[in-house]
Amino acid sequence: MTDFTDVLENPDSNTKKSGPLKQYVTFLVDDRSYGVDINLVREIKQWTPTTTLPNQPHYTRGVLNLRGTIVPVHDLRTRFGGALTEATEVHVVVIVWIGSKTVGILVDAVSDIISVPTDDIRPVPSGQSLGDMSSLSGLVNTENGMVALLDLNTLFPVEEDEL
Amino acid sequence: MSCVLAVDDTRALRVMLGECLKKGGHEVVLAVDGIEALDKLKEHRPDIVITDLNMPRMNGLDFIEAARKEPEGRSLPMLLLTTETAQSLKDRAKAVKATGWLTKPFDPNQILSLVEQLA
Amino acid sequence: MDDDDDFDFQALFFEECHELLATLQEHLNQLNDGTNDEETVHAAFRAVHSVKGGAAAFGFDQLIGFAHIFETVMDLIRSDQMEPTSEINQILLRSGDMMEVLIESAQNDTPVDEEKLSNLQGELEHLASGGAGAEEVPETSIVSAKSTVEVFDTPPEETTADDGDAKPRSREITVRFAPEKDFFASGHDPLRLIGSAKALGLNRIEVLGQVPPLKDFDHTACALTWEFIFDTEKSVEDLEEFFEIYSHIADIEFSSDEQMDEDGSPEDAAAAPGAEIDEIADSALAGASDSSTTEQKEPIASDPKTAQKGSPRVGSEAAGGAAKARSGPSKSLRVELPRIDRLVNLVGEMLITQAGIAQKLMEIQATDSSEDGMEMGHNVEAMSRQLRELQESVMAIRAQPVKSVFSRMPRVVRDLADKLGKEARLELSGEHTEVDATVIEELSEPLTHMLRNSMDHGLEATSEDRVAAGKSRTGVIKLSAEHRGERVIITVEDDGRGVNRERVLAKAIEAGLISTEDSLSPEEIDMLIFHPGFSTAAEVSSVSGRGVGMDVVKKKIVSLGGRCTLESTPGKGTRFEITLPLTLAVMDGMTIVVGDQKFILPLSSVVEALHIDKEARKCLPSGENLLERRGEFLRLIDLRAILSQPRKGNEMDMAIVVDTETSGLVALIVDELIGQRQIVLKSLEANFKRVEGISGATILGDGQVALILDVPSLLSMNGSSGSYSEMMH
Repeated sequence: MTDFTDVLENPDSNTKKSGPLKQYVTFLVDDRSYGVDINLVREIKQWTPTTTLPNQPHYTRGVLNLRGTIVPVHDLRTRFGGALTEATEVHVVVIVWIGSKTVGILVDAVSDIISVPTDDIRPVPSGQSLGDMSSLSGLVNTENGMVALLDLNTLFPVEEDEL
Repeated sequence: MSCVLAVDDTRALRVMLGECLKKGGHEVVLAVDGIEALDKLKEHRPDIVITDLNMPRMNGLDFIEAARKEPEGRSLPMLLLTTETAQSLKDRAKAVKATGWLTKPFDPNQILSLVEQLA
Repeated sequence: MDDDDDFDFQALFFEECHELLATLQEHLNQLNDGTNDEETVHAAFRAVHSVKGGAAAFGFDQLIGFAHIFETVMDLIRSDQMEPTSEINQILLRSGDMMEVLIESAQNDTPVDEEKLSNLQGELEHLASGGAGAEEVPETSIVSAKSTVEVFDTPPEETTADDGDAKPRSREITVRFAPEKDFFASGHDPLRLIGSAKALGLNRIEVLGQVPPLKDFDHTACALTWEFIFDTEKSVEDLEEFFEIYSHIADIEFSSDEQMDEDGSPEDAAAAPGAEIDEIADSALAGASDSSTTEQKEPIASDPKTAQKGSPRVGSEAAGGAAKARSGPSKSLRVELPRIDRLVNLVGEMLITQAGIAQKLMEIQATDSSEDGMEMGHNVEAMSRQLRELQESVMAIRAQPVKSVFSRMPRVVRDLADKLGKEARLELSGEHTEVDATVIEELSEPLTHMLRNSMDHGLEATSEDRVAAGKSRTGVIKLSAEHRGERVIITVEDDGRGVNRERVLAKAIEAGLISTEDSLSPEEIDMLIFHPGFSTAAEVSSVSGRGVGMDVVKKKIVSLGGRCTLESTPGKGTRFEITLPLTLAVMDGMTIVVGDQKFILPLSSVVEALHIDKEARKCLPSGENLLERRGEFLRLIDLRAILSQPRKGNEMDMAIVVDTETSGLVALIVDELIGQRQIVLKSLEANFKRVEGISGATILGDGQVALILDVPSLLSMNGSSGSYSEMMH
């Protein structure tokens, strides 16, 4: 695995001081940057082949064994309307909490951890044909370009059992 | 060196008693209650028995009483080791022909001396 | 014994204490619930007694003192001198809790609420004195109890009889020793006594008694009296200690030469000068000794079999190194779960390997029918059986009764009752229901939360409120467990006020969980309390806390592959139900290959595996395939289509006939049959959702996930599979 473990250990590398800070793990899909609240990230693991499930959405790549529990893996590229990722061992699965469930998200690579003042989070413009915008919770401009913050609950809704 | 059958339902005490006796150079057989002790008595034919009083299934007194009826236990020294001090229990111990009575906390040296003395 | 050893034993003692505590609390609870049988009382008594015994051995005075008075009270109940009223039971329960505190204090030096302790001790003492009436309470000398028989100051070996003569300040002590008739019968051996006494300076022995006439002679009785004359540096007290062990079975009198000057003991005057001790010992015993005493011992000493039988056991006990204290023969052994899991996985892998060998062997046998091959086949078969047995045994280790978790809960309720000033009683049932050990471990936290919730929110604020509502003052919370099919149901039910839906609704709107326009059914409102961050307590209570509520419970249960539901009747109470699949319970499965993946079919549904003859395949006008099997037509289902697996090049010629229970037998086309194995069930729903046609998953020896097929639901998928296939291809 690559240098992102190093990044994880030094989460303050991008700190700007203005207002309350939130930290996001950012990752790349097709050179586009996405971010997820760091509190929701459980771990990051290298891609391993999954066991496919019958009759699931195209983006659901199947399930993997995470230390004895079965965790579904979704393909972020496919979810945003792209093709299936031809996953190899350089691809990365970000294991996140969605509600009470543990879910894996297949991305190309993890890039950074950023600290963002909440004031700097811009709303997603509506009415634009940029794809499924409701699955984004905000946009942030960083030195390395724009990061789209993911709303995981909308992106990969989980059934909170029998509520 | 003697073979000592140590009977106590409290594991910590049983093992401690066992270790103490082993340090004294004795062979040790352990049992958790009177029932097991009776089996071990016949199997190992110890030279002396040290038993707790209160134990599930078969207590120390009943065990001694039963053991005295076995050829292996007829003239065997059998000591009760207990926290009880009531005279009525001592009388019962005598009635079932316990060899002697020891109160806890026991001193390892004392136990070893008694084993020397009685077994 | 050095400190290190003491430390090890202490650790062991504490470990055992916790088991004893669990036993104690369980039986006290039973007692409290009205089970006043002998066994319950005895078990509770023994637990207290064992803790006291251990505490005495290690000198934990506070614990000894408390355990002693506790034991005294238990003893009164045990001997029917005291009736365990509900008031007394409450004191006993609190005493059980106090024992836990004291044990923890002894173990970790944690502080003890001295006031609470002394109050409770006072209550117990009051019970002990009042309950016993005029009768004497057993002497409470335990706290300061010293060994009845003291240690010898110097090792006996150092002061032999011969040396004794040479010592300057030795004195003569005479011990008159008159054993009772049961002396021999009680296991005493005069030879042993004399041998040990020599080490203390025994110089001469006089025989005083007379052997009775032959007609009255009882060979088992001891009719003699001895006089032991010591020439020793030891004090009379030292000798008294030595003879203490005989005190109940012999009349013993001590006199020393200093005293004798005053007393002028007549017996001593009559004493003849001593001969060599060994000779005396023999002659002193002649005629009186029970001959079996000496004869009986010889075979013990000289029987090599006995000696050998005994030694390996002792040897193995000592062999464990640092852990030796734990390796003694005991009824239970504590093993960390990961170690068992490792075993489970290893056995699983072995079964796969074994299956591989078996398959290879079959291939070899197909071409080579030598006897070696046959023999090897038998061996492999035997190994397979043994492996399965091994696996079953390993799995059995994991199953545990929920009792271990349940037994901790009464204390939780009592503590909360104290804290909240409510009166409440916890009733347990189904404690013996067995659940996988991992589930047991995880159960404690959510159960505690649920009980807190019931105590805090479920029960009415005060007993007066309850009375006003026509209920008993004491709130009742029922905790139960039962097996239902392949699931375990755990319920927590209170007879309180029910969910306050108005407040829940208001709170949910305030927290922005729902909008004012949302119209929710009463059930939906109830379920809101599982929502993260939801807390109905008007102010943040120290009991339930903020946001640490039912959402945490739900999260936990779901992560265990379970479900949480709630039923509430206003004014009547609330019932929480946790449904846990036996997620880690095992299942017999048949591993098959369909397309690129391995799947598991529950073995219970598999009828047979067969090769498909082209002629046996039929096709209905509807497009449905049928398979003729012994004159019968079965629906033939292509699993590859249903499971969205690619078609391999080879001809599909293998089918497995399964019993769907609802729709009779069907034949499933598979690519390959790998074999049977026991599998560990994992939940898909824990982190994903229910997938049609799949009942769960398991992890194979290589770490890959294999899906377990749900046969009845596969069948219902068959109808849509055609269109699905078209969509895919």
